[in-house]
Amino acid sequence: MKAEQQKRKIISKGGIIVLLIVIVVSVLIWWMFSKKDDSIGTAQIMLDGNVVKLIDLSTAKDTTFTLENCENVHFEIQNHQIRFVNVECPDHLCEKFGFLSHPGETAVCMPNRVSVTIIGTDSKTDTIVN
Amino acid sequence: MAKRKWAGVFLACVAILCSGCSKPSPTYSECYVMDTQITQQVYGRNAQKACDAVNTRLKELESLLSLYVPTSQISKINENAGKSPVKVDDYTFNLLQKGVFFSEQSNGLFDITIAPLSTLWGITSDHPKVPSEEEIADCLRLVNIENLVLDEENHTAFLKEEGMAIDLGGIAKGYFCEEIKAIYTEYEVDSALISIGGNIYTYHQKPDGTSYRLGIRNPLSDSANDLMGILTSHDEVVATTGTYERYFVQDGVRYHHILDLETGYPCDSDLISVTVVSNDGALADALSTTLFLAGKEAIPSYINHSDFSVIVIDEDNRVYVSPSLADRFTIENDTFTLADEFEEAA
Repeated sequence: MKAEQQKRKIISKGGIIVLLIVIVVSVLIWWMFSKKDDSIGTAQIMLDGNVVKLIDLSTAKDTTFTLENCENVHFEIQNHQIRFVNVECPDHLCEKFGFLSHPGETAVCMPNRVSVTIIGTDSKTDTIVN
Repeated sequence: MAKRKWAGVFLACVAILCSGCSKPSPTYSECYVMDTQITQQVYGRNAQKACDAVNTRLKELESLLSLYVPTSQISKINENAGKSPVKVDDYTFNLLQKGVFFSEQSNGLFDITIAPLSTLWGITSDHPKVPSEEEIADCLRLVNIENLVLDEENHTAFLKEEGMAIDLGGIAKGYFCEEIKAIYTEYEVDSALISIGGNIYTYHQKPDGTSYRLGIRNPLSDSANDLMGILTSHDEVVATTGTYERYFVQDGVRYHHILDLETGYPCDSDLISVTVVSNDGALADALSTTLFLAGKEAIPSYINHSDFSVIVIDEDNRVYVSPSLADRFTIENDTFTLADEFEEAA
């Protein structure tokens, strides 16, 4: 009886193998995610303080688009970077920000109250003093 | 016993897997107040509520203090210039007192009665223009801090001459940081960073115990994402002034927003960027403009000050840094070099 109980408590050889496989696979998955290239972030587009679009630039295809409620503003995505283009505003300062792709980078069109900020974990700075 | 052992191994695996996603992420917020983009990143369980409370308060302050809101207390003082004193609330009165103090201390470089001149140029408006010399001379006559009378007993403000007007744009955003600190404290925020038009306020260190990393913009670049250096910061206001902020181009000439009260035209400073770091937001905001106007020759008089620290860049791309910032500021762009005469200036 006692021997039987002890046998039930101890994990079988098969169990050990399964557990080892689980550990190895887990560590591999963790390693793959931690090794992901974080230098290209996600573009967060905001209109008047509300998030209207999130675009993962690492997988984004080249395109040009506008916003549903703000057709004055256009964005271009090229080679996993994003920028303001063809903006109807008095100063066009937003277009001078150029292409953005790295976390922490940001551009704003004040007259249209539209901004794009690259979010991600690999940011060199928390913000830029302008 | 063995089961427990394997359960321990399993839990350790789960802990390893979870460690990658346990880093707290901030709540982001953005709004537009006083013709400025306000961005916040806030950590803590009440982060969203704190962001909303800050945005609401800033909109209230805009309606109280903006020169461009017809019902604001500042507009009422301006409307009654040369006529009668206007009673204002404690907040406005205290800010006006600070404005008068910094104006008087600046030797004529900074003046909160600049509004006739700043609105004439309209550099921050949708329709800026180069005024005639006659228009500029007429406006310059009206800019005079000595003609703003503050009555402490009755809490009134009075501009002695008709046509005079107050513009708090050079000090208000920095001053708001004190109000923002009180809101973050009230909502028990763990840590936060807020950017208000050239002013950054950092509240505590980040949850991982490190300071915020603030990029100082390369003043030679059109892109706001191009850095010249990085400053680590917590629990202080960092204010930067440069001619890249706001400007317009007419007939091939670039006109920026920092006006010289002697000439009435955008200043021709031998500095290209001034950053002031201080616990006093109003001081940092007002001083960054004042020191920009004061130029290079004034650097030795303030580089080693007890109330604030500075990072100043001259037109030869030389960078002057207060000794108190030496350990937490690094130059990240080879175009800029630490000034040789740093020791002499200090």
